[in-house]
Amino acid sequence: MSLVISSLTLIAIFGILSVSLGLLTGHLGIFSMAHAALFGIGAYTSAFLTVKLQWDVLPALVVAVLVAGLAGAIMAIPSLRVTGDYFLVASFALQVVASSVFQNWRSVTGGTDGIPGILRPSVGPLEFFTEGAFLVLCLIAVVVVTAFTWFIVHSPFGRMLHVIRDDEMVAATMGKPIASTKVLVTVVSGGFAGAAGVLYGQYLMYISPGSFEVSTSVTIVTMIVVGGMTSVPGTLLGAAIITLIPEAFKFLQLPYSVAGPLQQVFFGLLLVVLMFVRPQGMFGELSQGQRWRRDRTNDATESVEVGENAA
Amino acid sequence: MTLFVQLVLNGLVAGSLYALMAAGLALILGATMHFHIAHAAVFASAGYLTYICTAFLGLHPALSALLAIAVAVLMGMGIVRFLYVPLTRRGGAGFILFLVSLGVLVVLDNIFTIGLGARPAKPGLGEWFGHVQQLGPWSLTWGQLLIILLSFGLVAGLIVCLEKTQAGKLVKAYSGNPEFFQLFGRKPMTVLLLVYAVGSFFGAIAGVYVAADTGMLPGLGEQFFIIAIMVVFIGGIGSVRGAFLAAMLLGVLQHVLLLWMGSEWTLAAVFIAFLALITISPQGLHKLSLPTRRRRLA
Repeated sequence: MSLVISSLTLIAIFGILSVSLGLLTGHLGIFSMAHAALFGIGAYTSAFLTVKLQWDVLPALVVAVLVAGLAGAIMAIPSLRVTGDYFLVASFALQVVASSVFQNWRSVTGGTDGIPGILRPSVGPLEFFTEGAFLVLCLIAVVVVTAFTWFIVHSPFGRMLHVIRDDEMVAATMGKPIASTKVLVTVVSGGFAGAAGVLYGQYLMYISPGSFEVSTSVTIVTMIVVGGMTSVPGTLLGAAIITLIPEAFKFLQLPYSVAGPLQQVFFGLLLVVLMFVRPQGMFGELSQGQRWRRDRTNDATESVEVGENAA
Repeated sequence: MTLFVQLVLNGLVAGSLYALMAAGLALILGATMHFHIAHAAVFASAGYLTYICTAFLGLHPALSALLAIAVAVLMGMGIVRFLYVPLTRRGGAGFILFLVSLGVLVVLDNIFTIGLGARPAKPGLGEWFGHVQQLGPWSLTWGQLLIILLSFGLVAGLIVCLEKTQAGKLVKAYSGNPEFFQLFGRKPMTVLLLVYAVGSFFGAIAGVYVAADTGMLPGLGEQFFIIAIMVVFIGGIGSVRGAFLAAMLLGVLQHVLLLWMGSEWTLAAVFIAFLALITISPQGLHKLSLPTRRRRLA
């Protein structure tokens, strides 16, 4: 039973991460390798404020989400200037910088020892100390985030995001505010990641830099790719699948030093196979641009057909 | 001043490694626009394989290094032949190729971690490697001297080959216009294999050196890759000469920064400088405009 509760809690927390990255990548087309950095910024801000400065949980949560959102805004700045590979490298660099800050800024982050002794929250008469109660809190959070994201994606605002993703020139021609939209969505996505970080710290009651490394970013990317980054339920399901695989590996009774890398090997193979079999993910739709590109690489007659369909 | 010159010398060593990684990537990125992150795995594999050959098979260090480099080159060629080309035929482009490449990197890196553990895999290349050579008040080890010479020599050789030989002209022709290239009855596959073989060869040499010097660790490949790709962007995509200069500059900068900050912060400082640079002037980095169009192959 405790296994089920802990799995569900992790799924909820990583679900928030996956859905928020899906919003950014699948719907706005900004591919970020720095989501674990924002996740970590939320976790560390909240842990620092509550453990070292003795703040209450609620104001610490608000500040953590704001700081993570702000970090997202800083991250958005390169995305206004560069696209594609360039932003990928920029976000990768940000992730490495963040990891190095988590590890080396000892006075705030505790270095490699991390920050122990994080308390779970209590709001008025409601206390979330037990595993079960904390699970409820996480589930509420993931439902709120998912519903909000679903609402955004299916609103007119969401359709504008898709236009920006598929062709920025078209969006600009229609007079859509591209720059502010990109910043806004990055901030919202970063804030969600920060909130997930707060919950993660409270759940483990301890954080260390190892949880917010490049490999974590790769895991979150795998989640949205597996589920299909253009589908909100897909990203949630991707998070569930990728979180449950390590739990399944636990039944193999492997030593920890083997189990971790073996999971990573599995994720890597999953990525490779999926790109061959179903590149849009399990629930994803091919975007207009991808469909066009895909058909363009087939022979000329098909391209003509697609041209007609698109028109 | 003495310290400054020594730091510049150490920076040249780091720069030589970045240059070897980046020259290969510049060639690959210039010809194919593949975001070949699995290059990090090729680099790491060369180091790990050298360690396996010397520590477990008891082979001669030089033979081990050559063997490891050969396998790494085959690895690079295998990745393009059996993953990128078939995937492109199925209509995969940019992002999809990147994810496959990422998958390959994760798989290879972790297979070595499972086999060897997470401790540094440090093959002994012999006594000479760590022999300290005094150069006036400064010093470098023979290994460091060798890697500087190799880097300058190989990159110069590559530039000459690209300019003068038939193969170099084919690579340039393919990079310039793949459709036209095919129109003249040339096989893109030859160029792809050649480009990946040469790129992997350069990366593998850097990998063997890093393993022998500090030991190969999980995640080290990614770190070198990300520096190398920054170098390629700064130097101008496809320009081997630009990548070489940018690599030396970055290596020296990283080490000279030690005058003002701890070694754990220099890499972060270099990355922040890169972020500022591409944010302020993405076009000013090189002559080319940002390539948004993905070339297709085969």
